[in-house]
Amino acid sequence: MASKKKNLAFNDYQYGFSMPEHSVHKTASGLSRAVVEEISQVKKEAPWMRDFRLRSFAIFEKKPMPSFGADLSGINFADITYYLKATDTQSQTWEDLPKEIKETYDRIGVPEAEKKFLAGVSAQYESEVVYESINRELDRLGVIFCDMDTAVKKYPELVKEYFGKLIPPQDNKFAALNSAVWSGGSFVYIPKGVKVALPLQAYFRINSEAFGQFERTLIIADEGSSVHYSEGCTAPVYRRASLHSAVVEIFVKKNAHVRYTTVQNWSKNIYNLVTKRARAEENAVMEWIDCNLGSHVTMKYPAVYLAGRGARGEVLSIAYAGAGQHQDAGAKMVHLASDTTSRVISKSISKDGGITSYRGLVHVASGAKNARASVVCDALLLDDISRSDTYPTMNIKEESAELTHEATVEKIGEEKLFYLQSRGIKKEDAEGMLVNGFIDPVAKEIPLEYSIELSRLISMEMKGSIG
Amino acid sequence: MIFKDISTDQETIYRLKENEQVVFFLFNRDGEITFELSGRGAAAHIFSFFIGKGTETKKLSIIQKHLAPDTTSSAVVKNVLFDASEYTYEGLVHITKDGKGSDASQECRTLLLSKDAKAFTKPALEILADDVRCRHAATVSPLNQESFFFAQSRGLSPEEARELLVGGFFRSSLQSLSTLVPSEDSEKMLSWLLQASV
Repeated sequence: MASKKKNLAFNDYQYGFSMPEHSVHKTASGLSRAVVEEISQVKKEAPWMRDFRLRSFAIFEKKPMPSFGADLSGINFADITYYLKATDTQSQTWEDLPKEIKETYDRIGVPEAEKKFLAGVSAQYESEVVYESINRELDRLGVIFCDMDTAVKKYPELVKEYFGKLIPPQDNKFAALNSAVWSGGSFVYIPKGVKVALPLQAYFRINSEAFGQFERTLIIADEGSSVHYSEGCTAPVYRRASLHSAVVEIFVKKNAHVRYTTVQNWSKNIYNLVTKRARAEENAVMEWIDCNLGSHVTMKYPAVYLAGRGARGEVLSIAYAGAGQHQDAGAKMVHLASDTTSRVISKSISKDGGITSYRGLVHVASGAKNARASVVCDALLLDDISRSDTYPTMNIKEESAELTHEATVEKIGEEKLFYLQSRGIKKEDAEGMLVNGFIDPVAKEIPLEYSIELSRLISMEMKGSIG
Repeated sequence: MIFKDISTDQETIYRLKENEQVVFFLFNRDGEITFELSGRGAAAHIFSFFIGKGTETKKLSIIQKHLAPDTTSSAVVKNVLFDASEYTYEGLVHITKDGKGSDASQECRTLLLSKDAKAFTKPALEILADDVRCRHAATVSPLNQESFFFAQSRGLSPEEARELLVGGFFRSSLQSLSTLVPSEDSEKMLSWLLQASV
């Protein structure tokens, strides 16, 4: 199989089907020192990055698998191809896509051009004109927004200062894996005092590596700046690869404000194991808005290290688990300085045997005076074969800390359902309405176009099984 | 409703049969204790109080297992930590597929009265049945500074004000205990608890 693919790739190249500056390249499946070296060589990286990758690989080999959370026994590291040129990872034609995914695009009303881009059959997002004008505006402000590979080459000093500093490869097995084989992802630098009004979207950047398999994102918001970065999309993203393991590091300097929105809807064969962490300095604000709808297994706990006085961290999340899915998501708030505040709101929905887990941590270090933290987790269980777990951990080492945690698990209120039905609304529509109402406090925080699609998607998921 | 003081018990598993309803009282108890609701209509109401002093370190783990339909459990865990005491609470509400119509709650509240006191709280929920009501709440905080100030502005010394607020912290739970078991006098229990905290 591997050799056949190689031939195909070679043929593609020979006949010039792929873009000439992006020669098609694919490493053999399985991971070894040689593969890591090969990736670095193909990317023509500087020695410091190659060494970083090799060091990370050694750590990856030593680290055990996580002892908690979802069942990861289905991952076979030897079967995975660690580096594919993006064109290779995507379906080549619209017809190749699984039927359910095409139907979903239609039903939630994703625009035609976007559909093709998301499905990976269109090499370029067709709003190139819009993109160009945004790019010019960003240039004028001094904002750097490019893919990570380019950043390593063009801004080595800036990258070197921050890369892997917040999530070192030693952090966990999948962070080490990503550090060894990363490819793609975004690099964002916002200069002092610059406020970017328009959300930066990962898929504005017209390259198919926007949703890489081992993407690596680094955002630096300098003092007093503000930015909203969003990644993913409500429509399912189809990939043949079975493991997605990203690392996202965000540095929020004094008085800066970063909001990072994720709407994850990977196809249901994917293990989505992501490490996300932000460090907020004095009076900085960091907000993670995290929606997990797709994938087979997701393990993701966005963290904020509140390192400067008066820093604020927020995580607002929605998780939906249907048949065969396990969403093990949560949040970590680490209060390291005085007068820091944090808030976590988590909404989860389990249906058709799906499992949702909230796994969270609030840590108040000794000496972090007057820290305030609040955690609210609400779970909705829609049938008797689904499951909902909540595992909050609170470590308080400071007298003046004030921490509250609340969680509820419930099913859809019979009375509300009955009332809506008595007003002539069909049962499945009523259930969709109630579920949308349940997630509304979080859904209203995400950009409008996403939240409309999200609401349609939820209604559709409700109909899919009940109707 | 039966009242059981299990503060000094060695038992670690309590099984409740059909329609068996028990109020459990724990004072300064630690270790792992499992409450199994194995018959329809069983109810366990657990009240745990802890007063930590000196360098005392305690770890309590309460497991509420719902194995039968229409079962009820509630855990109220209230802790006051003085000096350099440390308290760890690990709770788990586990509702199996057979636990339809269950109602479960756990509440863990800790007052930190010294800068060296530490609290670790981990109240978990595992729900495998639908048609359940389940909630938990946890708080860790110092004395409410406004109430503390107000009490002093009315002529109370800081020590008296603190005792008043700690008393109020315990009183609400003791009152709900005596609502369930009218023979237990909440004020009597409170003065006993407060004495232990002096």
